[in-house]
Amino acid sequence: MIGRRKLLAFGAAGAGTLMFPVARPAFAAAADPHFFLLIMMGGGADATYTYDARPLSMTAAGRVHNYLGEQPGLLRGRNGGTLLATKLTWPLIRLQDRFSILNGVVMTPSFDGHLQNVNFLLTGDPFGGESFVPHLNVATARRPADLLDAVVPTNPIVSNVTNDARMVPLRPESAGGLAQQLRNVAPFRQGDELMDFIKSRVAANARGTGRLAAGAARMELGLNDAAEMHARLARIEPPEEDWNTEDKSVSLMAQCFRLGIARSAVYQLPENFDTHSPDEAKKQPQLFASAVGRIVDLFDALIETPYDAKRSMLDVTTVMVATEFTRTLRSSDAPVTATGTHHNQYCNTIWLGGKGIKPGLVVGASDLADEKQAASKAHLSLDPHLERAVGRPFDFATLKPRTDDPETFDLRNHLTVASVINTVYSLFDVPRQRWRMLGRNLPVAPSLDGLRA
Amino acid sequence: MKRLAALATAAVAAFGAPVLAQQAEFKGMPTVSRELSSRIAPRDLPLELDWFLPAPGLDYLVGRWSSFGSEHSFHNGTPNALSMVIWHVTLNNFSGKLGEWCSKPPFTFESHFAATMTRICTWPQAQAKDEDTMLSFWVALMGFSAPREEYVAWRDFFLTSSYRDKPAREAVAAMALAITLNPHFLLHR
Repeated sequence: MIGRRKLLAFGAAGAGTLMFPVARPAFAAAADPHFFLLIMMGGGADATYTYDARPLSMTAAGRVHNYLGEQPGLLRGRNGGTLLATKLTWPLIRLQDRFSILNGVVMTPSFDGHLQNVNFLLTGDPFGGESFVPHLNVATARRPADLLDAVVPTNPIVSNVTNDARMVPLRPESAGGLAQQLRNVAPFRQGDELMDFIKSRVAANARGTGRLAAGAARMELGLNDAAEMHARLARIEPPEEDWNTEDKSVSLMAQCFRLGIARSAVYQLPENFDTHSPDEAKKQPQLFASAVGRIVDLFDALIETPYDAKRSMLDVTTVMVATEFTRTLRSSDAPVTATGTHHNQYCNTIWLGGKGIKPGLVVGASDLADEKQAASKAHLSLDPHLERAVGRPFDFATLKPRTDDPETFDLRNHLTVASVINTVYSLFDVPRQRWRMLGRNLPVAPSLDGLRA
Repeated sequence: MKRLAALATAAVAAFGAPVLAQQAEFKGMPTVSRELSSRIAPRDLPLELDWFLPAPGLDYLVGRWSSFGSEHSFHNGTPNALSMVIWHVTLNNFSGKLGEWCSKPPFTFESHFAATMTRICTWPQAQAKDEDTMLSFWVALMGFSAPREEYVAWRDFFLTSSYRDKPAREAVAAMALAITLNPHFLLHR
């Protein structure tokens, strides 16, 4: 953990680099800067350990496992929505006015695999396609050609994304070394005899048709922007070695945002939440304590790193904390005291905060809230053995769960990840033709307008 | 005719947009490194291009395979400004070492390439500029994947530009950089 004063000093130094001239105005110089950070919990994190907990009486009734062994507490949102939260979320209490919690988010109802649901989260298609993250840039007028879509300061998310050419892994320690070297190497500038020759060969190969010509054309575009990118990257200051990973990552993101190197960042937590075996499942309290600590550090670093004289990085960044799905309440082939958990794509918990988001709300809910609550017919049609919680029918006007129980499962009755992504799209003015549909032959998923600040 | 057009439309829909399917990507650092090493380094002392990366871990940004379960996918193969900066700095470092070899050999080469280097390191003397030496140097680095016109353009540039009279250390480094930043060297065809 670094001293906050030190972080502030670093942030101020980063902001100061804007005083140096750049050939073109950085994206960050826009009047209304807006960035995006996706924090990903890989493996399918069980929300019953955070913001979608169940009472101990439900464990006593054999309906849900609980390796924490403590009664969760009631959390009431500013909108009157409620949930049960475990003590593992206590470190987040002071930050709960910074984000809202969305429970009962339905992922892809047809597939329960990791890859399919990661793909569904990122692209809206279980088999992959275009990630929503680069789409956040499409509405940006006069977008600098050399702007990357996102930097990824951690291990990248494994997915079948097709538009990730500008979503680049860039670790803080690598960026520091890269910047150091770039200061000692002449950039790829026009007017240099050798560089002009190299570019002329790339350009010659880019003419015409065919795979190589198309690839060379991409190289040509890259080379055109390489000098500008070189200059910007050379200005990155490496973080202090004794900072923790989260602080280092935020300092890198902040510099990339300010310098116009990228507009988004994707941060994958190192914890793996895929806890099929009882032994793995029993480690969840430690796993979540570690992950929550990292998320707290990320939020703190965003809050304490200035974007400019008046705004913090969190003031100008929309933050989404997500996982591909939550997990089953238990496994039916093992006793509830020694059970692992499997994938549950009918329910997920996503946190949204930062710029453009109304904080402190509790949105939606999952069903089977306690041992007394009966499953609806719609639930039973998906999950006859009651291993999974399912997102409750959802009222898009009030952002609260509905009280009725439709007899059949229909995505139009539920809060889906498509609505969450469309809400993010609406914040970034992404054209409606990009918005996600609820499914084939179904309408566009409604955005959560009541969640917008 | 209408049936043909419908078939063509269906084929595009099935196989994706032609612009995606028809774009060459980077070979990636491991492939480029292996190809280069097999041509210029002794078999028992392979050359690793990632020695010349500006910082560890950046090889992921210039094209690399990754696995997840049974899924194997190639990442960061599409050239962009950042990957071109990384290739430029990496290959600049590598080329600089080739240039340095002319005055103080920093590493051991395969014997045929070492002989070529010995000859080309006499630059700007005539021996370095003869067709055999220049072609030998070109083929050692590029292999046979580029058409002859690429070689001719490269040779003529170095025989007519200001590099014609520059010292070997500088000229050889520039020659190597011009070859290794060529699309035929970096991209899968």
